[in-house]
This record gives sequence, C-alpha cells and structure tokens, in this order.
Amino acid sequence: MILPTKHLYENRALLTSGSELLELLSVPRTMSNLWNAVKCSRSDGNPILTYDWFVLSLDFLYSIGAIDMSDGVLRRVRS
Amino acid sequence: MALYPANCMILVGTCPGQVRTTFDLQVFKYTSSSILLETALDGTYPRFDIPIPLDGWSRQLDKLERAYYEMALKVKFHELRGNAFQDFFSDVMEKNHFGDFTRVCPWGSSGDMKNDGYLRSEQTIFGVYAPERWVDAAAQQKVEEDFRGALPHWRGYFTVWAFVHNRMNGLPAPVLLKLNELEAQWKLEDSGVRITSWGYPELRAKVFRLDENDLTALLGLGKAPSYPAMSKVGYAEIAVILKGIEGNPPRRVTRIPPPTSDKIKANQLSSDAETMLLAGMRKSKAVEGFLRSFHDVTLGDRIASTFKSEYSRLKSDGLGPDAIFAALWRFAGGTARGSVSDESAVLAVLAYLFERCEIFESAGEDG
Repeated sequence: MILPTKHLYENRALLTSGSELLELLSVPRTMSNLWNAVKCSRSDGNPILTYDWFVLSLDFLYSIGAIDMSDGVLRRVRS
Repeated sequence: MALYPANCMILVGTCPGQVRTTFDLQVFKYTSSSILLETALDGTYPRFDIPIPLDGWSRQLDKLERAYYEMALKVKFHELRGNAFQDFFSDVMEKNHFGDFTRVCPWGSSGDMKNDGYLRSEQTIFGVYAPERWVDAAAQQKVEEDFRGALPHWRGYFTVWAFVHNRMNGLPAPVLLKLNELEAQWKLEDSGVRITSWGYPELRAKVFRLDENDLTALLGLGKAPSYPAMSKVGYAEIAVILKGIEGNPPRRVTRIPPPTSDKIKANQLSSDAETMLLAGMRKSKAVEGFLRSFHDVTLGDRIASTFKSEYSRLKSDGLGPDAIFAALWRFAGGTARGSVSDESAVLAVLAYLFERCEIFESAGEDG
C-alpha cells in the first residue's frame, strides 16, 4: 500500500499520494480545504483519490512525522 | 441415378442453410460443417430425399471456441469418477446414437448384469471403469470380472465388448495385455467376439461430432467465447469477474515462491490453453486499466495474492500444467457463468495474471 506494486500503480501508492498532499501543505490548511485542493489537482484526468485513501495518506504522513494538526489545521512539520 | 466410385466421400452441402439431398441412412456421415456422403459398395448414390436442417448443427467454430470446449472436456475427464463418469459416457453416447444406444441402470438384485451400456446397431456392450485412483491390478481384475460377468447374460447379443476408461494418457500395458489375452482366449470359443478399449481419444471424437447446442448441454456450459466476443470485453464485465474472485478465499495459505517472468511454452501448456491465454491477452490491458481506475486501490494485490496461493496449492498437489490452468480457470468462474461476455472476461483476467507472473513458472531468470 505504501509502495507501488505490480497491481498498485505508482500514482495510487501512499508514498505518491502522501507526497502530493505534502506539496499542497506548503501552506497550512484545514481538512476540507486540503480535500478540495486535492480534488482540483486531480481533475485533469489523474486517477481519482477517494476520501478514504486521502485520509489513509494523511495517516501515513502523520505516522512518519511529516505533518501535524493543531486547532483543526494541518501543517507540515519542519525538521 | 448417378454412379460414383465405390466408398468415396461426396460433399453435398455446407452449413448454414438447408440441403435437400438423397441419402441412404445407413451410409450417411456428417462433419460439423458439411455433409459428406459415402457411396454404397456398388457406387450408387443414396436413395432417399429428405431435407436436412443445418441450423442446429455445428457451424465452424473459431480457434478460441474450439480451444474452450476442448479445455472444458479435459476438465470433465479430469474430475469425473465412478458413476458420474459413467453417466457422462452414457450422455455422450445417447446424444450421438439417439434411439440406438441404451443406458443401463442397476435393477434390484440383478444389478446391471455387467452391462454399462449397449449400442444395438454395432452389437457392442460397454464396461465403464473410472476409479478415484488407478491401480493396474484392480483394473485388470475389473476387465476380467466385467467381461466374464457379461457373457452369461448377453452372449449372443454382442460381438464387441468395449472397456471404457477415464485415463487421458492411454491404457497401461498390463491392462492392455489383459484385454488382448481375454480376446485371444474367447476367440477360440467364439470367433465373433472382439474386445477393445475406449479412452479419451475415442470419447473426444464422439463429443466433437455433436452440434454446439448438444455440446454446451453435455459440458454444462454457456456458449464459448469467440474472438469477436473478446473484442467487446470492457470494464463492466471485468468488474463482475474480479469481484467474484475476491469472494473466493484461498483454500490454504502456503509459502508463495517469488514471482518470475514466464512464457507459455516454458510451462508446457497445451495448444488449447495457449489459444485461450493469447485470446485473453487481447484484453489484459483492459484489466490493467480497470484496476488503475477502480476506487479500491488494493483490489489488484488481493486478487493476485488469491491466485498465487491457489496456484501454489494446485502445484503442490502434483497437477500438470493443463490441469492447473483448467483449475484456475474454474476458480476464476470459468464454465460457471453461462454468458459469453463473462467467459471472455475470465480469459482476460487469467491472461493479465499470467503476463504479470502471478501464476505459472518462469522460462529463465527471476523477474
């Protein structure tokens, strides 16, 4: 799930969708704002990111310490 | 009436359509796509004038359709044992020799009197043997018991005794020897009696004389997928198949060897399996496209894992390549769906997995 496999293509792996979310979090965003931004960025014909996969991607980023959430706002963790 | 060379074959019509011809019922033969008439010994052409409807007879099957039915027959032969095999044999004979072949069933204390079927026109009695596990000594004993057991009841009514068995790769030499010994012995007493054996080649020839309607009914199938049908496979059909497979859990979890790149010939698959896989590969890209866009991103991995487990289990059971292919085909829902589009989608899914080295072995280096 995290890495691409023979049947899980690179643009759907958590690593890829996570990096996409991380780029969109160059500015702090709320969940709704981030979700809308993802949908817009994928409206050009890329495979649709479902909401549960969006949440799973956020879980992945949180678990590796790449993002944090406070006061309802998601932001990148500066190392 | 015209004269032709004696015993020659004359082509008088091809299907589809209807042919009016004259023929003697006792000398007429037909193939799946044409009517060939055999002239009488004196070279005369047949005598009766009867319309022959060709619509229900087999049109020319394309290579994929033929391979599909051949594979389905192999599956039947591989799986059927005991009474089920005997019933299948009787079905084949009844469809081929309507009104001439009689199915025999056991009756009270008399049993079947060692008669598993009677073909009246050829005065042939059949003894059918399809054990769960073949043992030469048991087969030899069966031959002796059935032939000797039939004689008191049926002597005078038969000139041929046929031993029908379910071995696909021929009769073991000891059993053939027993048949020859029996024939030699009884020829001394009754020169008219002949003993023979029927196996897969003989039954296969009977099966493929049937028209397509009888063929599908016999094999318990829907119509075979054809090359035109394969071209129509789309995401809707693939989704049905993949969701069905997802519901089939692997029957035993085994250690899965690393996948390797493989080729059809390296796996010694038959030409029928090769034809089916190559046809499926025409649409394996559609399977890939479906999985790329399906909302459940893990479906592809789960399907692959299920098939790898099933393949490993079948291989560890000692099955040959074609038997494994047939089992995986059935595991994917093949032969059970009945619609041409579903059967075509099954082939596409199998081919997709085959190309991605999820099933069968590599030809060389690991991938």
